[in-house]
Amino acid sequence: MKKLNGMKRDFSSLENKKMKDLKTIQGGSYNVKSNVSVGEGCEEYDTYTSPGGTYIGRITVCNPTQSVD
Amino acid sequence: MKQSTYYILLIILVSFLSCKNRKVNYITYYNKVNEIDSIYRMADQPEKAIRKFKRLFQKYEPKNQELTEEYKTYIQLADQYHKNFGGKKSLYKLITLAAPYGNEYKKLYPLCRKYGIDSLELNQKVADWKKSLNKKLVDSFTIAMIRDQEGRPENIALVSKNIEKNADLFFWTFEHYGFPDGQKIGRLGINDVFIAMPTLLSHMIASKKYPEFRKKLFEYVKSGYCSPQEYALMSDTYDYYRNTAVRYSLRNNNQDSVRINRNRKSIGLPSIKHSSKIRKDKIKKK
Repeated sequence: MKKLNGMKRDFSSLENKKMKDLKTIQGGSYNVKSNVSVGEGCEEYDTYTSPGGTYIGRITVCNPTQSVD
Repeated sequence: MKQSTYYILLIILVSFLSCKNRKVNYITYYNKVNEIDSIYRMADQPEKAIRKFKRLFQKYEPKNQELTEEYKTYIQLADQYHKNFGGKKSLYKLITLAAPYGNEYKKLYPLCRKYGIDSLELNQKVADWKKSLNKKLVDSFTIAMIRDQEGRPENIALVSKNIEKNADLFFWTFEHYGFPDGQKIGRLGINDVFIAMPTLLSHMIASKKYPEFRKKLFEYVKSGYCSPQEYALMSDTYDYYRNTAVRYSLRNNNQDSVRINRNRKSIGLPSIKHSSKIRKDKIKKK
């Protein structure tokens, strides 16, 4: 699991609110690696409700310290 | 019955039966869905919405998009207001539409039970649906998804090579089978690999064939196979990385804008305000 404590951007205000509880991302949704380059030390993910689930939005995580499942 | 009367009736019947099969523009359908959704959600006139939904689904095969879930909304409202929505037959259709989304279909248990479909039958329907998928495409897109994730984000050479391979697969699929939507390949591939179509599509912006790809995808939005949401995500991603103004603001919809709402309508997406209301309602329900 990745410690999602980095930068967040490009979200609707509603999604941003949801993203404040970063543990929710780890426990209740599924991340797929998104684009190639979003700045050094940063990675971008598409977030879905579950594997096979509906699309939630996109997050950028900087200085990840662990790996995402 | 006179022979002439018989022929007239036959012509009427054939025209009626072919009504749903004729080539329709699904952008009109999506905009109608948005209009009806706002009748129920914003104007709080559920019974009027039920009548309009019913007429719409007589004309178009329902899609049940991720955000509006129009067919599910229609059936739930009709059930709540004791209106006839077609009973089991319509529920079977809804099960098929929900089937690609992992375990989402299980949320339909209570409603199905009410209309005589038990959990065994529901599970069987989903199992039958899985068998009906195009195995060749499921295999190919499972591989494409695994390939898509390889080397991200640091190995740019590998990522670029794989994007082109996947673009070729898309074009080959378009030519032989049409758009690989959830009803053709589902969303869970071999060994339950998640075939994240919105992600796969948005990665096509880096392909050399993107302009052609985008044109083709828009055709599939019109024919109803690719959702406006998937198309908008891809288009906005492209604009975002080129630092040009996004057209649909699917990713960052904080501000209402006449320009963006006009663009949204041109592909069948609800306005920013309307989308936001739907999302809020969904979160409230949870």
